[in-house]
Order: sequence, then structure tokens, then C-alpha cells
Amino acid sequence: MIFSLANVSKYRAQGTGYSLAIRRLRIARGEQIALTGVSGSGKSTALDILGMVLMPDEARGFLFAPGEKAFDIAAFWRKKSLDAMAGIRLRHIGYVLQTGGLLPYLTVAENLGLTARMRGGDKNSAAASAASVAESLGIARLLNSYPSTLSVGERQRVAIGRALAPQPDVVLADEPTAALDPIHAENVMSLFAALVKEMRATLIMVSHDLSLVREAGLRIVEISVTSAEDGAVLATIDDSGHAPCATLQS
Amino acid sequence: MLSLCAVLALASMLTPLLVLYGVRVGLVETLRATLLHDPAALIIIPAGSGGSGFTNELFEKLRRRPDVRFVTARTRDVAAEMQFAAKDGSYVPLTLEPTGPGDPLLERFGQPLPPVAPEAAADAPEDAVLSSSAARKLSAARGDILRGRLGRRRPDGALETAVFTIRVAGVLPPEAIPSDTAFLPLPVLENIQDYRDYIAVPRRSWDGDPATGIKRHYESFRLYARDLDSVETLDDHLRGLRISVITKAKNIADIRMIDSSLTRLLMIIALAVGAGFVAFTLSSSLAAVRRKDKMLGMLRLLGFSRPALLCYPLCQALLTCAGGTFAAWLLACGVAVSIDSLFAAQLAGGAICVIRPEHFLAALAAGLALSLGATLYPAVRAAGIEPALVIRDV
Repeated sequence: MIFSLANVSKYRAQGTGYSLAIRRLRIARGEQIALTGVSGSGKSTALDILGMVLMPDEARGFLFAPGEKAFDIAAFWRKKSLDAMAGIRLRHIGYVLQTGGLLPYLTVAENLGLTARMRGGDKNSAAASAASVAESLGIARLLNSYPSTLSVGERQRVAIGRALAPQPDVVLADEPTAALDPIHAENVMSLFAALVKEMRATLIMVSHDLSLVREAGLRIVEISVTSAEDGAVLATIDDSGHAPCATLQS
Repeated sequence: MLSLCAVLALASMLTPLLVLYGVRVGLVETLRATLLHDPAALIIIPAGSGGSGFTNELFEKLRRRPDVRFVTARTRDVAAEMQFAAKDGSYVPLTLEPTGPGDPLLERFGQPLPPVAPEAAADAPEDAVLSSSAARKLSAARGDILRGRLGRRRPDGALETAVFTIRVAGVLPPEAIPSDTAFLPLPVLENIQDYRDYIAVPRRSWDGDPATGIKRHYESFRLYARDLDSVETLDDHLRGLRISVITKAKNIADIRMIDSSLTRLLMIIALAVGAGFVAFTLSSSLAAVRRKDKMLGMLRLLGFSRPALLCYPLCQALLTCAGGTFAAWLLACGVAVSIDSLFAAQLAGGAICVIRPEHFLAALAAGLALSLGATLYPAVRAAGIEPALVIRDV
């Protein structure tokens, strides 16, 4: 299991109130899942918790095991070890946002190489990896361009490329194709899923478009939403029923 | 673009300050240099008459002091004047001034007296240095022999005259001394004083009463301090010996006062500029952190650590500061050159605005320290950005 969460919750007081309770969520290495749910169900909140950028208010168990060693993320949050979690993100996690998130003053090539540069590894292999990802995504000709000169679709591919170029263990994506037109979105989505699979990485994607993620072959984890008597939104993820069958442990 | 604007804004604040500082340094140094090159600034002479008189022991003691550059006794007023014959036969009265080896007034203008030949004949001409106006009135040039008429009244009331010749060993330029003066070695003036006092001077075959052997007393002296600061210590020392003196200590104190007033003024302006600089740096880096919060959040999401993000505003502020200070230095140097060329006629080689590399370095160090201080809060803000709150609509 790359992610093992048990009773991880987040509360928000805004509006009528909102709570997200992840009762149980176990994601196997190499799995590709889609977190789906109605608008406002807290898909992004769940993704941020998995991405270790949002502090859960409660976390009975939260383990992240990209390799042999498992990190106790619940303990990191208790100790406020923000930089330790930043280090984990840097080495193991790629992140694709709904739109952009590219650094405007860096070229496409520099954006693709940013994580590798921060990690400080071998420059040549990082460049080779960036080049092959760019090739697969069809953005090789854009390497020397700046993000502001690209179309939305091109930018989104660069953002996917930036997440994949450092060959992460997990890719988190927040509606990566929502800004694209539906036909284009389908292409990018299947290309994205295929590339992640090729890398044997785990893919966790937030999407409201069930058919799109089904098409791409992702397992769907539904966020169920009920309303409390006072109108507060109670969102729940309970993946206990699922026994992971297709794991790609290497 | 914005960074370039910040650099220029900073330069516009720093340039006037650097120029002002340069003016302070230049002005004070020019005044000091003018004083230092002018031996008159270092001169110390007794006020009024010497009372009981000054003895050679006093002068010996003074000569041994490290803050004394030169001191010579002055003979009494009876030996203070003599008439010399001009080329046209008229007589010109000259003030006689004792001098000696190392006299700064003569050395400064390159006209030192040649050493006295010990075995000179009784009637051999004495070497003398003339002031510019004395030489002009006598139409004398270097190497000329001038005839002097030395008169006295004998005890019996009869007037008599001795012949006394000088050879012009040098002529001082007009700025050295304004009066009609001949500089002669002290022993020569002592001879003249003795002649007028009707005391025999056997060396010159001048008759008179035999010398009494009483220690010679002098009424005055001419002393030069080693440097400007020594003037004040010597002034104090001599006052301690109950010798009241006239010095240029007041002029020196005036320069000190100009220096300290300008320094204080500069400090106040620098404080105001510093406060403005801190406000400017703080607001512009806070604005930069706010403007770029999504980008900073994105970097955090990618896994940049807090120290790395802390560096971002700090580095930006430090670079802006370095660039601004450098630009200000270049501008100020340009202004300094134009100020100096504007006043070139009055300055005679001096500079009114002096900006040195160390001033640039000092401004840079102060600027860097201030920007570091002013950027700490924005830097902490940058490092504290929570990616989950800002990344959604990048």
C-alpha cells in the first residue's frame, strides 16, 4: 500500500459547515484511482490531504509508503514537520493542477527540469527524462517557449510533463483536463493515464467527469455526501469494501 | 521590470545622500589640506611681550617635544629693522626676522638659507632670504649683494653707522609673507641687537662695551607645530607655562566644528533616508510576496522547503539593494565630477565632493543590513504560505 489512511478528518466552519471524513482509504502501488463526487464534496480537500499540504484535524492513521520505508504522515503533522513533508513531495510526488501552475519566468524546459534541479541529482539523466516526457506529450517543440506564449492545452500538457519528468512514485492530479475541450480532454486524459502506467507510478486524480475517468480505466472512489440536520455538509470516503486486486509492486 | 524600478527608486534615494557625504568629506579635507599646506596655520607666537623673557633652555626643551617642528627665538625690536640700499640709491627699510635650519616657512617655498660658513670673514656678506615685496622694492634677485646701513646712537649721543651686507640667497613668493622682510640667521640678528645696544661684537670688529656674560633673554619666538592637532596640545602646554600665545587653533576648531556639524546633519538625513529605505523595502517585498503568493505556493507544493522560500524575498531585496547602491554610486560620482568642475576655479586642485570606493562599500553594507532587517517579515510570510490556500486558481 502506498497510501493507508484510517479516520482522517478535516473540518471547516465556513458557511453552514463542512466536514470530510476519510474512514478508510488504502491505495496500492501502481493503482490508478479517481476521486469523484458532486461539486463541493471536498475532492480537492481530499487530494490536498493526500498531498500533505493540508493539515487534517484528526488522523488516526496516515501512512505513505513509496518504497520499503513507510512515512507516518500523521506524526509529521503532529510535529509540524512541514519541511520533511516538502522533502517527501519533492522526491516522491508529482502534482498536476486544474490549470497551469507553471512558473512564468522559466521556459518549458526549465519548468520540466525544476524538480530535478531541486533534488540535485544527475543533470544529464534529468534532461533525458524531461526530453522523453516532452516527446511523449507532444510538447518537444515548445521546450524553449515561455508559458505565457502557450495555449491552455499546451500549458496543461507541460504541467503534466512537469509532474512526470522527475519520475515520481505518485502523481496527484486535480481535474487536469477540466479546462480543455471535451475531445482534447479525452486524448490528454488517456495519454496521461498511459504514461503514468508506463512509469509504474500510482495515479490519484480528482474528477467530476465519471465517463472520462472510466474511459481511461481508473478505479472510482466516490465521496458520498449527506447533510446534517443543521445543514452542514458531511462528506465521507469509505473504501473498505474494496480489496485491491491489481497491484504493480516491483 | 518591477525589480529595475525598485533599483532605480533606491538609487534616487541614495544618490543625494552619497553626494552630500562626498561634499562633507571633500569640503573638510580641502579646508584641512589648505591649512596643512599653509605653515601659517601651524604657527605659534607669544601674545604681547615676553615679560621676563624667554631663555635658550626653554627653546631647547621645546625643540625636544615631538609636537614641535621648529622654533626660533626672536631678538628684541631694536634689531627688528634695517635700511638697505636699492639700485637707484634710495634706502628701503626691511623688517629683520630670525630664522634657522628647518624653518618651515622657508622650506615650504623651497628657499632655505644655506648653512652659515663658520670661518667667514668679518665683512663677508650674510645670506638672507627676502620676501617678495622686499625684493621688488630693492629690485634684488637671487645672488645680488645688498648694502645695509646699520645705525646706532653711541652713549655719548653721537650717531654712527656700520656697514652690513647681505647676499640674496632666495626670494619668497608673494603668498609666503606680505611684509618687506629679510630672513637672517638668529646669531646675525643677535650681533645686530648687540651693536644697537653698544655691546662689542668682536667677530665683526664692532666696538662697544664688553659682553656681560649674562644669559641672553629673548622677547619673543616663532614656533611651528608638527601638525594641526599639535597646535592645540602646544597651546595647552604653553599656557601651562604661563606663556599666552596666539595660534590658529580657532581656525582649526572652526573646521572641526564644520566637520562635526556636517556629520550630525548627515546623520539626521541618513536616518531619514534609512527609515524611507526600510519602509520602501518592506512594502515592496511584502507586495512582491503577495503578488507571487500563488507561485510561492506552487513551489511549496513541488516540495521547496521553507528555507528555500525564505531566501526568495531576501535575495531579491539584497540584489535590489546592491544594484541600487551601485547605481547611486555611479550617479553620485558623476555629480561629484560636475560639482568639482563647477568650482574648479576656486579650488586650485582640491575637490569639493569626494566619493571613495570605501564610501560605496559602507553605503552597501548599511543598505544590505537594512534590507535584510526590512525583509525578514515578508520572508517569513513567504515561507509560511500554505499551498492548499493559494494554488487552486493559479
